Amino acid sequence: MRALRLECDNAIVGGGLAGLVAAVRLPGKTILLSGGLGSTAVSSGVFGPLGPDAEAEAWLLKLMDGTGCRYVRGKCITSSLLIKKGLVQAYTLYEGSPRLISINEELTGFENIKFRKGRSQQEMARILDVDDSAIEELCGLLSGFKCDMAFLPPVLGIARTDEIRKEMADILGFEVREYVTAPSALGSRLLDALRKKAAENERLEMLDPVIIERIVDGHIEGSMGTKGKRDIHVHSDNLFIATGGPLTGFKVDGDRMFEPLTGATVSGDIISDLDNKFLSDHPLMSKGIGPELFIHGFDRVRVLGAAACGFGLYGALMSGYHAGDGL
Amino acid sequence: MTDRCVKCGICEMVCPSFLSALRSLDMERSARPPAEVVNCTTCNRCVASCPVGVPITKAIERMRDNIMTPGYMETLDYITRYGASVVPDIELHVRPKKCKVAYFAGCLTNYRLRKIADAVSFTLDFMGIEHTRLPEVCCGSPLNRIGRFDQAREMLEKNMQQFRKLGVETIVTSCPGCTSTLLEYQDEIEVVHYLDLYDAHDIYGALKKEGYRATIQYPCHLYRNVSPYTMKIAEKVLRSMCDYVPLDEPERCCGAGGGVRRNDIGLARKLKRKKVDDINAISPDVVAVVCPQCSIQLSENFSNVKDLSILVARNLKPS
Repeated sequence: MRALRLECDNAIVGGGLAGLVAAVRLPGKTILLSGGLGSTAVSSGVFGPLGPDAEAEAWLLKLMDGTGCRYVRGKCITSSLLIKKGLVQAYTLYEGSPRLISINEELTGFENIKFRKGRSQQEMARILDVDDSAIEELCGLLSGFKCDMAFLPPVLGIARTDEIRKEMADILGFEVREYVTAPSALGSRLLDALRKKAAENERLEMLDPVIIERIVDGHIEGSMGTKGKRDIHVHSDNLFIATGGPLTGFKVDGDRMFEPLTGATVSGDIISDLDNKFLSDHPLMSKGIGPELFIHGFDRVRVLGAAACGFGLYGALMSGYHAGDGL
Repeated sequence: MTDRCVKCGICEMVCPSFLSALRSLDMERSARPPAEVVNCTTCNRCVASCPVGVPITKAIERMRDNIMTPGYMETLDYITRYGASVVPDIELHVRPKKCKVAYFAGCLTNYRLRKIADAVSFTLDFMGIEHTRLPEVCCGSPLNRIGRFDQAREMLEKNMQQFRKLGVETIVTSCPGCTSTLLEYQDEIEVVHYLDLYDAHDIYGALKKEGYRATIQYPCHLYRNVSPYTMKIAEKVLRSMCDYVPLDEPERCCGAGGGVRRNDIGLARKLKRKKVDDINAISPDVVAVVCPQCSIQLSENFSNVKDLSILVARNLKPS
């Protein structure tokens, strides 16, 4: 079959935080091509430290209001009792003197319950989404805790998290929130909410999964579907590269680390900064290739998120928020 | 391939069913595959979401090769005995002719939901696309889903011989499973879904706007395996015919696929609970589907489930 040919004002490659924020905001017809989830989906969902871009922060708070993943300014607590400040998911807001309860792992400062042993927390989150008996079982384990509020690991569902919390509060008589870990369902909730927001944008067409193979002369070329049997060519005025860091985007070739679609190399001394040991210890972390690139055939090429500035949700939010500035 | 897995757990979060792909892949080389692999609906959401492109579903299907359940036995028995994935309720009456285009309907359509085949044939005629039908055998998809890849190839080859004999250059499909299978396992003949053709022939202009509200459930094997753009087409078709209301998570599997409905009807029904809630939340006049499996699965709960091909054909027919 002939390749699908699409035209638009803006083409975004990459559907993580930066790509989706840009997709929600950019004026004009926009096509977002996404080839799988990346660092956002396994992040803690915390934006911080606050301050560098108050406008983007306020925008995100407003955007996420009314989604299943509401954000507030405040504090959250991690599994190592670290208090993090920033934009945090409302369900992780740490306040008062709650009971801290871990599941199947002994953590200093936490009381421990045993629930669905052998399952990861991510799997538990999804089990609670589809299985009411699991919610009842979890409530049974928590019913002995006398408190105003309890903090569990992020296992309280993904798609049905609002309902699950309400159901649990009704049964238990106290609110259950979550402490912060990564990878966890927190990142997945953020991504799902952003995708739904982006889908409301009528100027936007989101195509997923699409694997982009090359960018040539004003065209983006790739293949659609998990079988990769349908070709797609997208022509756009502006191109936004939001392919992410080493988990999904960057490739390492000897002492060179580069963005595979553009060939742009990560600046700095790779050997000392980003040697193999560093990469294997920090699979999500990297430097970026900077925000601007020239590729023949496009009016403007901008790099967003981890590809531009390295690891971190805050940087991805900022670059996505400002993706359309001056266009 | 699974060596690439970075254990990020995304597959565990996107799965609509009761299994951990991560754990299953960890046990891939063990003598006894984990029993939970039968719960996979092969919706491929994990594959589409995997940051490093591990072919998770294929690995799970391969593990099922060593598993025999009453449901798997049924599939193997029907295909061996009848050449179809279900017991045929009629003898297939088609008149094959030499033609460059063939419409391949698939077992569930031929023997359970014939109106889909009639609707697709009608619309192909409407667009002036001359086509033939053929005495099909199962495309092999249900066999691939349970890891019987060799038997699936044999079925494919039986169909291929017929296509070759008739001089077919393009296969038009309506069933997502057939579409994905015919695309994946052979490169000799072009495969297009009817939605691709509706779009290429700009069918939108011929459609009349009517007063009903409809939503759509995405078919995993068409939307995710073949082309996400097909659902852009489907939505555009719906907008041309009616008031389209999007479903929350239309891409979430209905729970029937991958042999799950036949193998464990209780699980299949459990998995569609959120889907049923989501549909009830928008209470549409019509629940459009583009897959016979989704159609059968959702018709248990809703009396207004209609295949999109039927909605289109009805709309095109002079009243």
